Amino acid sequence: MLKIENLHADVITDAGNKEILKGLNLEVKAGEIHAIMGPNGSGKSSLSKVVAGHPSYQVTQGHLNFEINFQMQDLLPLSPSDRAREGIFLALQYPVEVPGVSNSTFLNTAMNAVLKHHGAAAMEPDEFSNFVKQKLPLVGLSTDFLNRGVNVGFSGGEKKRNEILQMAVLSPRLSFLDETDSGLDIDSLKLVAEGVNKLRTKNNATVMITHYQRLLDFVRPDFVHVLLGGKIVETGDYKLAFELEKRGYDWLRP
Amino acid sequence: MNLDLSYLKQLSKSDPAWRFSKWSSFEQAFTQVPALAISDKQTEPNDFLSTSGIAFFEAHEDGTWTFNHAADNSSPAQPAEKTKNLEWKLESGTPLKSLFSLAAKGVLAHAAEASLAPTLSILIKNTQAAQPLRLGFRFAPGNSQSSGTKEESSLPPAAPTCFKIKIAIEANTSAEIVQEFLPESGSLLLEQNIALAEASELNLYLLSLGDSKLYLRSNIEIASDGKASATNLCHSPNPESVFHNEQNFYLQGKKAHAAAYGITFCKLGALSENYSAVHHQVRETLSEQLFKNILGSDSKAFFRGEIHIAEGADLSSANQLSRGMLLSPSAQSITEPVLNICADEVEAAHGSSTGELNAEELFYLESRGIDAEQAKQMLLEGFALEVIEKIKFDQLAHWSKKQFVKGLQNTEPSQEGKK
Repeated sequence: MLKIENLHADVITDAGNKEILKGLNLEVKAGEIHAIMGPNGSGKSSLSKVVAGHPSYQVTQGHLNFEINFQMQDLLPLSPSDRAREGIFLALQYPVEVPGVSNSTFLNTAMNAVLKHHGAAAMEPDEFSNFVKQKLPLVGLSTDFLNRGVNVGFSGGEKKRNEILQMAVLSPRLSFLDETDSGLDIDSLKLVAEGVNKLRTKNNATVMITHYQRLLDFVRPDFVHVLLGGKIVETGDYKLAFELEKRGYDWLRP
Repeated sequence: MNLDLSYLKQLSKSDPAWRFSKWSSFEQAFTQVPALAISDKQTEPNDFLSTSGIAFFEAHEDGTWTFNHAADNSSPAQPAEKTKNLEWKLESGTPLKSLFSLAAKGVLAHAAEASLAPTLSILIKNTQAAQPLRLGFRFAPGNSQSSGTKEESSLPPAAPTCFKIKIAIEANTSAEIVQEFLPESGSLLLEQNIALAEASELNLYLLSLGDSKLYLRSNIEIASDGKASATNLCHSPNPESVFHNEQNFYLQGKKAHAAAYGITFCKLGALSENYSAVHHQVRETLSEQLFKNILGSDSKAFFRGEIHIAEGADLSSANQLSRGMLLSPSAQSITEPVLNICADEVEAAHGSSTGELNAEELFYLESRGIDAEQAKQMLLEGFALEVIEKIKFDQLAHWSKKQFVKGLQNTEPSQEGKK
């Protein structure tokens, strides 16, 4: 579904470009759950943003291919919104507050953009409202969250749950969850993890970026990767997470 | 008609020495061009101003003017006597009690004396009604040339329409007033003095959606427990557009409350100027000011927000916030907060920010499948909505969301080849 080969990418800053990803390889197939772990600054968030098409990143080398209509296609020419419509989803580490735009308008507009792209009829606000209300219990949010500004005044946990709600609404094929577990209390963590488990099908895939093995207690990954210095340096099954918990990352440094 | 104008007598205490360059031309125009030039163009009423009665001003060559109104659309307008200044009393129980529109039409009046500058005086007394009394004014800025029935007009070619209004609102009365400036080219000078008696409430809305040159000045005096808000919605689409709006609030009694809100959308070289001054003259008075500007290429917005808290006006609270959103590198937003605090025990806050559309917010919307153009539109609407949500007049709020906010789109003629 996703194939990343020798990916090099720079982050664009006012002070100039800086290479963050330095020859990264990763393959994700439908039905799989992957976890990417690594110390701060290793490029985990950058990887997810490059896949989603964040404008602050520039790919300088390598390939980023995604399966669209049963064919692997180059993602790089696609805009962030086109990538999202093809089924890529990024749950942000720090979900953005968008004052003045209600959560329901935001979700409905996003949903209709995806539906339209796939040639389906748009959902009217009433119809969408019923649809989204069914998804709310999954993440334990009440209906008044729909009428509030996107993430405005939400607690940290509510923001993260709102990301999973969006994932539930949009039904992406490939989701990157960027430290969705960080800053969550144990109840919120369980809710988020249950949400991810319930949304799992044999046709979609999830990549979880995390610092802690804690999330992996609730969502069992098929693969655990270690991202260090802009590259995947180690891959294993979920047991690798336990080992990292004990030994840290230093033993993997070149 | 007998009209109790005792409130009006207290008006016009404001400092006549205006500090602003634009104002001098305004004031001058009032004294030198005491003429009413109102277009006779009829326009469809907007849905929020659907009329149950419509009234007309007509100006005459001798400097007098008449005012005709029909109680509803079915009965013909009653001819009225010519008058220099019109006085008008509104009470619950009069045929014009609910929602009606005041449309102006007429020919150019040219008079030599300033005393003939037309003034409309209105006393609003509505004590029994549960609903606020709603008044709609519709101004056609017009142009002395375009009204054109007089070939040999002695006025300068671009003589503005001049107008003065005095409104007194009696105690325990609430009113909502919509003043709409029709989107035609021309200039309009409007000065209004409004006095609110004890525990009265006024929500004033000014709508400008066209390429007029508007010079507006409102002086609003508020007695104790009175509450006045003024909300400006302005969409200036081109270099001919000028929106110059001055509002002076005078808080004269305990618990008097003033609120000034504004959202301005300027495109293609339009100019918007908002001068909002709040004078806390006695203790325990409250004010808030919220102004937002959305600025397209070459357009310019100026905001001067003044908070004056007089000596002894302790326990007063004043809040001021202005925000500018620049859609183009050639747009300019200038903000001048002025806080003149002469009392010790007060709360006064001001904030100001100017920026572009937030890139992280844009990416967030795009990463959910919303294309860049639509995402920008949503963010612009969200920016404007904070002001629109202050509108208490529900039909107007509905209209604003549908028409004004949607009108924010197509802000820039083209995207500057951004990758």
